[in-house]
Amino acid sequence: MKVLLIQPPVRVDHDPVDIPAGLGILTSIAIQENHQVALLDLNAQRPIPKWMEIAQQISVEKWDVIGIGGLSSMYEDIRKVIRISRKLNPEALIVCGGGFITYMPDKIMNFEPEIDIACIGEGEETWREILRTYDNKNWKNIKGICYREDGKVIYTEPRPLIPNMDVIPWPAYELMDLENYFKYSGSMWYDGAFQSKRRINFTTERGCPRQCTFCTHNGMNRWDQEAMLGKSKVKLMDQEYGFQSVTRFFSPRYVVDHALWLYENYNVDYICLLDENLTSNNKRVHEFCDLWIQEGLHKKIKLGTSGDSPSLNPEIIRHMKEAGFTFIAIGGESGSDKILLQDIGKGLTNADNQRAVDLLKAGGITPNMTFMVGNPNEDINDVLETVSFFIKNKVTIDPFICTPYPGTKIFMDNQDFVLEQFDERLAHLKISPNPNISDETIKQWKNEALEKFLLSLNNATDFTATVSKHFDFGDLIAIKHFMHTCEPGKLLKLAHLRGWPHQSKWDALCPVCKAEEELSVKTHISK
Amino acid sequence: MTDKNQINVNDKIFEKLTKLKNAMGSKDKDWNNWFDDLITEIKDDTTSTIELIFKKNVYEKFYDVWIQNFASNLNNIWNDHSVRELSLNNTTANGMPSIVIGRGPSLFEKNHLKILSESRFDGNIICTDGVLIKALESGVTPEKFKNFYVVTIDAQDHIKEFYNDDIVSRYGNKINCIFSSTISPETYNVAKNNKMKIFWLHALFDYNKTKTSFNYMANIMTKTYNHEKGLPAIQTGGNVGTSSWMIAWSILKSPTIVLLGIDHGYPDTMSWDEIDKYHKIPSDVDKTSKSFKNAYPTIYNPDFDCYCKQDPIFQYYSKALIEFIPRAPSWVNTINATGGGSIFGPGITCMNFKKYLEKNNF
Amino acid sequence: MIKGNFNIKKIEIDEKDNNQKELEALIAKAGAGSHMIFRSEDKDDELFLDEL
Repeated sequence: MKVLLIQPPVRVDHDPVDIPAGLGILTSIAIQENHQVALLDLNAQRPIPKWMEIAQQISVEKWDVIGIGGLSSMYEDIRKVIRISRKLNPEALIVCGGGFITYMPDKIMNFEPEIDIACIGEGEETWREILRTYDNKNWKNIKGICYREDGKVIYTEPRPLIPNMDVIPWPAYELMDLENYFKYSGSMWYDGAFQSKRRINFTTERGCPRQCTFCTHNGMNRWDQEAMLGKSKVKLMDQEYGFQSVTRFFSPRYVVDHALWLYENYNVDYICLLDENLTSNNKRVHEFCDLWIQEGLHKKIKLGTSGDSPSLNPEIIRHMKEAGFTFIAIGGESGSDKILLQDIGKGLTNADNQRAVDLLKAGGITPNMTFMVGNPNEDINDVLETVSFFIKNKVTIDPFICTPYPGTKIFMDNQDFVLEQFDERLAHLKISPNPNISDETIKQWKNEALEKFLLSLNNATDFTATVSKHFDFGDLIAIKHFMHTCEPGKLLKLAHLRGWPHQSKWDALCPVCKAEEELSVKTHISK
Repeated sequence: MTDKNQINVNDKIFEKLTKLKNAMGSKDKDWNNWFDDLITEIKDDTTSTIELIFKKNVYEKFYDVWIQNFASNLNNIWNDHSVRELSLNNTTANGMPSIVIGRGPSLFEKNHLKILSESRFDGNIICTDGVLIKALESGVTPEKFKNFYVVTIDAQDHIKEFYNDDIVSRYGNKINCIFSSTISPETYNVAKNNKMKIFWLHALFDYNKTKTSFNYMANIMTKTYNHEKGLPAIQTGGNVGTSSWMIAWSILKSPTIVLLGIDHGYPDTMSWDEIDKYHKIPSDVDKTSKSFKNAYPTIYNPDFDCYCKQDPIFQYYSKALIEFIPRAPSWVNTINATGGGSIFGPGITCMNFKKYLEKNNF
Repeated sequence: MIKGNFNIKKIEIDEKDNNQKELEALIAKAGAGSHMIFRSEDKDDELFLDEL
């Protein structure tokens, strides 16, 4: 049968830096299952294609199955792709997966009646089984989906995590426009990657041992499973399928073979391992670096990746440098220990972050750190701690805005607050409950507000819902700007304007306090 | 489709597909061929060809008319107001929203004039000339909407008929006219007789900062009396609807511009006979030819989830407006509230008109 | 943009099918207005000029 996979646009205000690796794997699986398969990558070029061109591309064939996936931040474009696909292929089986549907399949299936099957969580084996079941449509035996039947949405048993990830095929590179992506190799603004000419990004890890409140893993690790299914259910799955891990890795051999093949077939000069936290497993990092160097790849391909501060030590950095890593990206998140420990739950402190930066610099690998502003309890003093970290380390960082993406702990803990920001009636009812408004009506308003919220989601740089207790969105845009320009004076002036109290340790940086002090001294002298 | 690929569809889907197939002029075609036709062959090259044809056509037909009209209008331009005066009280800080009203089919299909007349909208009404009479008749008047503008850019004499009505006379002294310096003097005279207040601007045709362009010469002549700085000049996009959108942000400094009746297309249900009333379709043209399909495509609007037919003229206008909207300053938000048409894409928010009014407590 | 592991029908964009004369005739008879899109080498001048 004819199978089409569509990669919707992502981060359209930036150059396309990532190949459609996830969808590429599903494409490979469809090819393995001996189907006629096509991949339509709407993200490969900038500007993205016009919708009429997209409709033209989809309508070249009559498709039996159409697979569409992506992140929550891509929802607005994903829904257009789904609707155009249905319009042009009224009888196709439309299967959707990825973060945008994994965390709230019931809601998305309601908002998007064109979707036939939702793939929840890790999708490779689910997708394979869907293709094998297409002829008899006996979906109920496939784990990890929900599907429509007689007007209802039916859920099947959850899909366990794949224990040995090495069974997962490489992406179907032959169906990607790689030469186009190579044009954007230098668009990844990390040391080494910036200078590359033929860069590919892929992941070698799924999950992360940390439990940051702002993060999710597309349903592909234990933390996500517990959040979606409950701890007791996951324990039962442990017994039946084996322990559901927080972190799984492809073997070093798998990764090295993958890289060797890319070098021989596409002359790749840089690979960014887009892992959530590669360095969290030091033992594996050493094994990987040993094998990489043994195969001579350290002379052919440079590398970049992510890690976390506590897992870094001089030995691991030395080894990674030898293997050709040019940068390690770390989630610094905040310069305030209070925020790191209380709001973010990352399990590390500012001292850990500073230590990591110092170690990386000493080891000759560029540290790259990302930060956020707008955490729930973050006040102006916490923001200033973060800016102090920037100033101390002489860095320019444009922080992300803490965004309650679906599935994250901050979303689940603040869901009502998020929805109130998209429907004033809900905010009003919270303060003044009205017994004349039925639960059914409130439920409908919440659904509409949720849809608006989902459509507002972006890449944590622009307006959407906030979870901050101290700042509104206008404040956050201003604060983000002044953090980027490292201007604590302007942040302090803003604090005075807004009536946010600041600690006395910032007085020396505060133009308002300094002016008041100077004028009171002069008044005293004149007296 | 071969027997192997034969599919069954339910009645509802079959009805929808049949409707679309007939609307595309493929009633007598079999399904296989029609699916082939869904792959239209429109691409950017066609529209850039259209742009070149337009430029040549308009120059040949109207260059002399622009000059003659400008010469006839010059004395009035000297003694009337510049649109720059409208900018004096409107800044980006206090700009009001504007509703631009065109005369596309959606305006009437969706009864937008009645909805507007019953609303509490308190911003600018910018009426394109062709819909002025209908708007006033529907209750969209300067008595209800204090900031009422009408725009004319067209140089042809027949435009005067848009002002030649008792209802225009009745409200004339409360209506602000924004005229291009090359409109027909007959249009001007009718407007003046209706005691309408006139504000002038230039339409950009050929300005190139050298001394050889019509725009340059017209500007020098304008400056010789009363208008030391000359007049502001706008991109017209070829039509009064796009011109009105330009005026809304560049002159009136509106941060939000709502488009009504600016379809630049026709509903896919509209027959060729009805379309002919808007823009003539030569009777001898072969409607089944590929070049006709290129010139008269049917496009899909994903934001309003509907199909829209276009002709070469609306392709031309639509492409330009879709290009210009995201090029406006970042403080400008454009909302397509037509409920259909061809205006969608980056920088354009599509929203039903009633929803816009509810959202803003109008 | 779309790539497959089988022979996907290509969208033929055939310049010869754009019959320019026919298009010109259609536009001439359709009765467009007296204005056209203004294009400038300086893109900043294309939308609005407060002063020429």
